[in-house]
Formats: sequence, C-alpha cells, structure tokens
Amino acid sequence: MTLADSTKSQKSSLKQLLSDQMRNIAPIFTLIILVLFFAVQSPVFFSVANLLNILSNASITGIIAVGLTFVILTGEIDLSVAALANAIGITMAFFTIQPDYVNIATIPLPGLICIVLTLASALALGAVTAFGVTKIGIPSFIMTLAMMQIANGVSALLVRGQIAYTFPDLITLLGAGKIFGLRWSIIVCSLLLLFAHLVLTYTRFGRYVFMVGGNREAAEYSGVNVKMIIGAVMIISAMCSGLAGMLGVAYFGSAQQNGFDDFLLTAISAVVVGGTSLFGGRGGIGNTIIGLLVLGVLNNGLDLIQIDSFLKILIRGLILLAALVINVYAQKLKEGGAEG
Amino acid sequence: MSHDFDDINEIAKSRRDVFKLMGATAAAGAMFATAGFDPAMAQELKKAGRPLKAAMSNAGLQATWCAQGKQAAEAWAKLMNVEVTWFDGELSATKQRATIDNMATQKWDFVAIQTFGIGTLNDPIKRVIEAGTPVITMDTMMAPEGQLPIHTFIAPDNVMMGSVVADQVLKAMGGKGKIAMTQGALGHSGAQGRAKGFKQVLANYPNVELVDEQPADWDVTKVARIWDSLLTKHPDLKAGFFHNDDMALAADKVIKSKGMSGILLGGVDAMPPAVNAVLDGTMVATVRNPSCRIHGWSIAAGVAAVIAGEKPGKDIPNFILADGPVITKDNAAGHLWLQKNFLI
Repeated sequence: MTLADSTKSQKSSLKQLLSDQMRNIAPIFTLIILVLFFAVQSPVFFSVANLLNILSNASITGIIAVGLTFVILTGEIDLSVAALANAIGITMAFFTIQPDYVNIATIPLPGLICIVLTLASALALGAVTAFGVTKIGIPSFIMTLAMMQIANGVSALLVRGQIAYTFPDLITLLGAGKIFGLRWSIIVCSLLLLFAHLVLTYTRFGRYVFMVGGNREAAEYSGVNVKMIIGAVMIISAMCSGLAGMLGVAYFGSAQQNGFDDFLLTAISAVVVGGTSLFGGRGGIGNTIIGLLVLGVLNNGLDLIQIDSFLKILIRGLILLAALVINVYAQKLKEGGAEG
Repeated sequence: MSHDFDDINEIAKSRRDVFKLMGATAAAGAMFATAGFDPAMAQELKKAGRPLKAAMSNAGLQATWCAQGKQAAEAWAKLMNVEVTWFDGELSATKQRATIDNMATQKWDFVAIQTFGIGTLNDPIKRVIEAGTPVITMDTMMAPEGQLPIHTFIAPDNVMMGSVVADQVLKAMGGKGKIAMTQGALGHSGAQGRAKGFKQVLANYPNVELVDEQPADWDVTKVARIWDSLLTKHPDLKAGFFHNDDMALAADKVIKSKGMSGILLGGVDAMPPAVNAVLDGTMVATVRNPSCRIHGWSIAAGVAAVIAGEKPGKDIPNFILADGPVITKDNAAGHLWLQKNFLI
C-alpha cells in the first residue's frame, strides 16, 4: 500500500465514520451551540433553578418519547400518543373523587385500584391499536389517527367540558411532588429512559426492534415475529403515553379536554431531532435524550432572552426543519456509504 | 373631558400621535376618567419613577383579542414607565405552563396573566407569589377560588355580555321565531357565562324557540359545518347568537353562500371587524369584551402595587369588573375610535 492509498483510505474511513455518526453528532453539536448561546445571552440560564426547570419541563414529554422511540425504531408511527395521554389522565380523574365545584359524574375508587384500572385502560387502548395494525393490517399512520379520535372522544365524553382537579395521592406526588428539591417526574422519566435503554441495548427484544426497523424482510427471514414486535411497541407506546397522562394531569394541576394536544408534535420532534431515523432501525434512547434536551433548552432559552413573541415560533420551526434535514441527509449518507 | 379627546383626535394622525399629544400624565388621567375612575382616586396612581419590569401572558397571540390586549398593555406600559416581556400562551395549556415555568425563574416587579387552562399554572405562580411579586389575573380565573393569593382579578361579566346581546337580538326578532346559539368551548368559563346570560333573557320570550345550541369550540370551520346543516334543517331560522364574533361572521358567510339573507346575528367581543359588521348591518349587535381595559388596567394595578404599595384585599379589591358596552349602529363609530387608541 502506497502513502497515497493509505491517506485515501484514512479519508474514506473518516468519511465513513462521519456519515455513520452524523445523526448522533449533529444533535449534540446543536445542543452545545444552544447551551453556549443562551448561557452568554442570559445570566439566569445556568442557575440550578433554571436547569431543573428545563428537566422538569421535558419530563412529561420524555415519558411519551420513550414509547415513541420504540415505535419509530420499528419504522412505524403513533399519532395517538397525546390524545391517549389526555384520555388516560381524564380516566384517572373519572375514578377519583372530585371537589364539589367540579361538575363531572365520577366513579370514585380507592387510589391504588384507580391507578391499576387506569393503567389497564391504557393497556386496552394500546392493544386495540396493536390489533388494528398487526391483525387487520391497517397502516399505523391511519390506525393511530383513528385511535387519536377515539381517545379524544373518550376525553370529551368523560369530562364534558368541565375540569377535574383531584387525582390519587401517589400520582399527585409523582407528578407534582419533589424530593430533595428534585421533581419526582424527572426521576420517573430518567428511570424509564434508563430502563428503555437497557431493554433496547441488551435484550433480544431490543435487537429485534432495531431489526424490524432496519430491514423488515431480513428480520422475517431470520425468524423474527415482526407482527409481535410491532404489536408490542404499540402497547409500550400506549403504556408510556398513559403514564405520561397520569403524571401530566397532576403536573399541570388539572385534567381537561384537549389538554395534551401539543405533546404529539413535541414528542415526535424530540425523538427525530435527537437523531432517531424516521425510517426506523437507527437511533435509540440516547438520541431521544439529546432531542429532549435540545427542545427543552431551546424553549427555555427563548423565554429567557428578549425576543419578539411572534419570532419564537418561527425559530422553533426552523430548528426543527434543520434537524429533519440532517436526519434525512444522514440517512442518505449512510445508504450511499453502504452502497459504495 | 370628551371635548379634549375630540380635539386631540382631529390633530392626531395615528394612535401613537394621540399618546404623544396627550402626554403621559394627561393620558393616564384621561384614560382613568374614561375607565370610570374617580379622578381623586386616580391621583394616587403615579407613573413609575424607575423603570419596572413586568411579565405578561395571555391565552395566545393567534387570537386577535389577545394580540390587541398585548398592544394595549405595551401602550399603557410605555406611558407608565414599565418594560413588558411577553410569554405567549399559544392557545395551549401545556405550552403556557412551560413558558410560565420559564418566567417564574426570573425576577419581575409584577406579573399579569390570562390563563388558558384553569388550574394549570398554580405551581409556578405560587413560586412567583412566594417571592413577593404581585400577580394580576386577567379575564379568566387562574385557579378555583381560594387556591392562589393573587393581587387582583380583572375580568368582564360574561353573563351580562350574553344577556345584553341576547336582548338586542330577541327584540329585533320581534319576540317570536326560531333562534340558534352557537357556543364556544364548553369548558371555557366565558362560554358558560355567555350561555347563561343568553338563556336568562330567552326565558322572557316564550314565543322564541331555541332550535340548536351546539358548541363550535371557537372554531370557524366547525361553525360552517354546524350552520350548513342547521340552515338546511331550519330554513325559517330567524336569528343566531354566537359566543364570539368570529363565529358569527363565519355563519354569515354560510348564510350568504346559501343565497339566504335577513337572519339576525349577534356576537361577543366587538373586535373591529364585528363593529364594522354592525355598522354595515351584517350583525345586529355585539358586546365589547374590553381587551384594552383588562390588559391596560393590569399595568395600572401592577404599578400601583409596586410604587404605591397597594395591598390585595385592602387597597385593591379581589375583583375588578372590566365592563364593555353593547355595540349597535348608534355607538359603533365612537367605539372604533376608542379601540384604535387602546382605551376599551
């Protein structure tokens, strides 16, 4: 091998490494730039209270994003996450005794039974989605769109335009309480992210999730029960959304119709901005964490600096677009590299 | 006082000119007089000697009512030496909560907020109040009564707004025929009050039949759907009452597209397009939900709290009614001028 060949080979392997890692490097780079920018612009940014604030704001989205990461890794999508979170939060309120001034018909149950029943409702709704996608063969985009409507219907029917304020004590603690100054919701979200990371990285199920998203046919030929994996991720997503809804209504202090609508785009953004491929097979919980932090820092930072309220929305959109461009570009680089 | 305003109006070419001409002190006095304050009491209220920092948020700047409120707050703030930082609620309870969380980590002289989702801001607002910052609530209750020690609550009377427009529409109907009420979001306290006011007046008209009261959730596309089938089902419909003007104007488009006319429409808010619709006869009446008063008075209340040390429940009452007139052809033109200068 000549020196020229060696240099060419080094350049080629560097290009390969960059194309492999582009989806990981770009979001981290974005995060660092945002942190540096806001730290210079606002003295409040690096205060402990503000950093905890960023984590606390990201915690409920983070719980939804865990389930969504599984779904997107398989190359599917779940559009029902936010509606389902709201429906489950409202279902929990329906099983909890409400103050006199709340004009909602409820079936009050003891706290633990209420929590178990609510989680079972999330499981049931997830199972319906899983059945629709895997057994009937409805594309996940359409099936979860239908589930979004169903969940919105459940919310409307149970709450009937009213607002519920009371939830089981345990949920109020986990959603709104603190331990040593740290919100429980941050702890729950962190534990869930860690658990999901371990499952995706170290278990057979986790490897199958990547296989199904990476190359579905190859996975089938390898004996992976693709339908079972897709059904399972749909149920995981529903359970995560349900948990987020339960903690979320406690976090926000009330359960009301359309309360979580924005979480759909935010959660999908967090997963995709972090670098998980929209086409499935690449990414993971690490990427989702970076995505959550990018969005969290961006939203927080824009509120700390003096900027036109109307401009904030545009800036958020542009950053999301840039992240999507990188996501798709990284995919093309990877495919180009694989072909070369 | 009205003579002074007329003179100024003739000279001034824009609202900024009006403010410049009046000068800060005179403007405050004139506005308080318009607002119904006793001039003797108004003397207590002074322009801030040092620049004050205020944080404000309303339901969402996509809504014209909120965008107008922001402009009004900023105009009043300029007069009273207050620098306002805006935190947009973006018509979302969760987005508003996140932005108010971010607001709460910073230091403010006073805070004024219109809540999008009742009860969703308690946690950060408690922190702001505990830090000794006065919090003024605008238009919508922030939390169920007694949960938050807020400085004061400045809001319109939604029941009254519903009833005065209903009265105009029902009188114009001649006290008989079919009417439909298209509601806002049922969970919205404003929609609930307006429905209540409408029904209170309707009870006095036994020959008027309420044929529909579906909610359109403030959404003009839903209004089109509801009114399309409503007009097919009841071609003899005589009138419609809407929980806001945007919905009334959307229904007017449906009526015209069907080649129908003569249906009497009444709404709430009295934003300029609706006031003009009253002037040209498209609408019978609307009632002012005084965005400029609510937002402007919040600035005044904040300055009074910081500079004059007004204490809640002692120097300032827990609730201040921000009233607005019913708008008919007779007063519409004058009302447009008041709005142009953020006075109502």
